[in-house]
Amino acid sequence: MAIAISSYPSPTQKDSWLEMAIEEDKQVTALEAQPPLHGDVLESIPSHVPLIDLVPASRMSKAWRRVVASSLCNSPRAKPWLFLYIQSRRNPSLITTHAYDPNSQLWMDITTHTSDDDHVFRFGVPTAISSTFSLPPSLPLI
Amino acid sequence: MASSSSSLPSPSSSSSKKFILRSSDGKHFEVDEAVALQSEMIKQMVEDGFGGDVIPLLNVSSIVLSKVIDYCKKHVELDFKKKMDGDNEAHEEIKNWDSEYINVGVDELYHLIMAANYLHIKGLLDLTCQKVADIIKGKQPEQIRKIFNIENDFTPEEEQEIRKEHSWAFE
Repeated sequence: MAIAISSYPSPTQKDSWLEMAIEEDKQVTALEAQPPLHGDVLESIPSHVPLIDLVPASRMSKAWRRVVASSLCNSPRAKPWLFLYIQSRRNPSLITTHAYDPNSQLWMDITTHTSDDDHVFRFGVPTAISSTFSLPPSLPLI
Repeated sequence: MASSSSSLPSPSSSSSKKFILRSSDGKHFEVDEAVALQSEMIKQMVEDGFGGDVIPLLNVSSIVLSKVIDYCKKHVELDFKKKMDGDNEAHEEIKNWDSEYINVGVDELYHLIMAANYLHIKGLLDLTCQKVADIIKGKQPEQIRKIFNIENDFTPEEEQEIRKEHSWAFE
């Protein structure tokens, strides 16, 4: 089996090289010849992925969707989320909700919807992810 | 490269038992017993009576095997140090060494993860899986698919369903 490890740039260049590869919309060449991660190996990955990043991970392919789902069902996450409810001093009926995911080290602002679907939370992620989004109720929020 | 056991200092004495590992491309690597037994798979083989001869590793090429042996050697050395110097210092050193070690391209990472799984080296499997997780962090599915050569096998209908479920991600 021929492996083109030696064709990689030096270690210091690797990260920028990877970013470049993504930006230029190129396939990471060496991996093309390999079958995608599957089976046992794939199953061991989701438990290392922070909850918040499991959402995009579950959308990659059927195999990934399956392993993400089974990881959520079978292994309790190492660290639960912390939820904070803060009541305003000036207006006691004004309550804001915040959540902290220790695995991603991310604080999120949460506004709950009280319409038809009251299980849907809306998260405003202030740091790494800038979009506003909701998590499906199937994710175990503590 | 073929026999690379003597280049690094090892905590075990030179008289300790040696194993010879043979890579898929036929190269031989002589390693100390403690280093070889980092692999649960080899440990099992030895317990089942394969200890004396060359241990064939059909799924691991010499380039990958040599990198895996580096990992096992270092961890034997650091485990030994941990016993001598106490936990904290060694813990920090392991962390630093691991993060330098795993700073590799996706292709090399792929081969390491497969080898760690095949050889049952839990520490290396955790390290490589963590690296995959770190690469995934904060990226969109399309980016991740490209990096890991994953085919999108959802039908348009399923994709539509997922879009509804995760509508936030497309905003």
